[in-house]
Amino acid sequence: MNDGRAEATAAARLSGLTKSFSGFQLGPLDLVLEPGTVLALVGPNGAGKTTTLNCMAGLIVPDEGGTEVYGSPVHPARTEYRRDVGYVGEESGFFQRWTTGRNLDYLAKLLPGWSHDRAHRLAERFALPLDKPVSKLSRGNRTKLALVAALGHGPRLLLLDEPTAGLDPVVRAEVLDVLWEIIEDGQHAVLYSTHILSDINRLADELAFLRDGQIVLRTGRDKLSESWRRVSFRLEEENVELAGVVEHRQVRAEHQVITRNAEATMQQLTELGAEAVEVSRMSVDEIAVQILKEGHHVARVES
Amino acid sequence: MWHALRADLAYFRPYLLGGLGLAIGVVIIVSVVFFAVGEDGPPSHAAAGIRGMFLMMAPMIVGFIVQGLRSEERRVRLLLAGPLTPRHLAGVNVLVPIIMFGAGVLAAALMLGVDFLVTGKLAPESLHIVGYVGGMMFMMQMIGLLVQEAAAAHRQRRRRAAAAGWASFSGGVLLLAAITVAVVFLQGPNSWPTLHIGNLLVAIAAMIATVVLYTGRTDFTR
Repeated sequence: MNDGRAEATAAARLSGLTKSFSGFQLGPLDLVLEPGTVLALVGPNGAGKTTTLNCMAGLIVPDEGGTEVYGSPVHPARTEYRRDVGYVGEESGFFQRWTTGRNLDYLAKLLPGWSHDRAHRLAERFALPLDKPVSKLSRGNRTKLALVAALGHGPRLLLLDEPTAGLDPVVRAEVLDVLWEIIEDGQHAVLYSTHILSDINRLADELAFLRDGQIVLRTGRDKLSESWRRVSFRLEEENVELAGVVEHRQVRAEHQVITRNAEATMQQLTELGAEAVEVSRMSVDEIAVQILKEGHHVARVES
Repeated sequence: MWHALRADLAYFRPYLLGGLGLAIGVVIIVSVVFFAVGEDGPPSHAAAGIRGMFLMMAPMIVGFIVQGLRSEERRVRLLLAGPLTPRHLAGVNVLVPIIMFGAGVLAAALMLGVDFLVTGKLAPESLHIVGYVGGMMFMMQMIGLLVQEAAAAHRQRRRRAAAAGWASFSGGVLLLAAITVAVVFLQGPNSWPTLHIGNLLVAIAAMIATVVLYTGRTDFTR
């Protein structure tokens, strides 16, 4: 009974989602995004992040499987789900020669549930120039406009496709501030795709690692930080096999390893009599790089 | 759908007015030249056809430019955020160039009216030639949209849809060629109406095929 209720209220549910292009296959993907969760979809270029989001926004029809948003099936021919979806992609389809304000006025008539107050409050908070043509906006301002457009009708699910890609550090920080403000009220479920790993630390509760069209690992951000460590130690023994280690460098008796299971590795090192053991925490960025490098291997062991 | 259509027409109005303005300028120059050469110039119905062609060609070209710009600005992404279905989008896609072309037809009709007011006569041949030129252009515009959709189906690996699109295109062109050749050989009182109906039939068939193919798209990202 409870399970049934949870299913009905999932912000987004991907079931066996598959989409093929020549030389690439996305999925089959199974993913549930609970309301109020910020999930970062992390992966290198070409991993399938944008295709996943496009399928979730109804811009691409999958070959098999599908997506539901708050229980409504996603398909270009259906419109119910759109009330709940705000999408920020690389291209947003604005009228380039029209001003920002005129584009927002147009959206007010196009999108049911649009709140003029909400949109203008957001535009004011983002310091978005309403009298400038979209074609003359900086990349940062375009992203902000896309955010206002995505949020103006009060969606419960926000899909963000690399919103900070290509921005200079100052504007990036500004956009991240804006995103943080939007996310912190906990009213939005957010799927945030990125290959800029430093964004993750600030915004995401959970991480899903996508590689070659497959989710290789989904885990909580904090859980990830707890188990991964960088360990250096001195040990005379050669060809030592350590539990949980994904990277091992050795110069004579000096070793440096990266472990995804710090507890097991430390216990083994104690048993082996390792000396000068130093343990350091790893940032989520560093861990993400390791996971994406190791791919399926790490994911299999992790899960 | 009507809201999206109105917005697109308002957005591209400067292009349409610019194109028509240019065509009217050309028509004025051509008219002055025809007037200057007097009886050495083309017969009146051919002159009407030439001037009408400019007036209808301009919005037709603007229609093609508009299609390109809508695609470049990824308008579909914006429209699919709202309550529009692919059928609505197909409607907007087809109606924007039709309405623009309609403005050219209207301008050509006005030109014939002015001709009538100035000269006090209007040969049926003039009407037929302007109608034929307009029909050909309309047909080409619709065929252009059909080809675009057939190519999109091919890109999206909808093989049957792509094959149907190309078959419609080839069938339309062959049908029109057959009608035109038949009319040329069998000259008669129904020649002009047959040509007009042929053009219109192919244009409408291409329009319907375009809407059907668009509705079956699996990728609306561009």
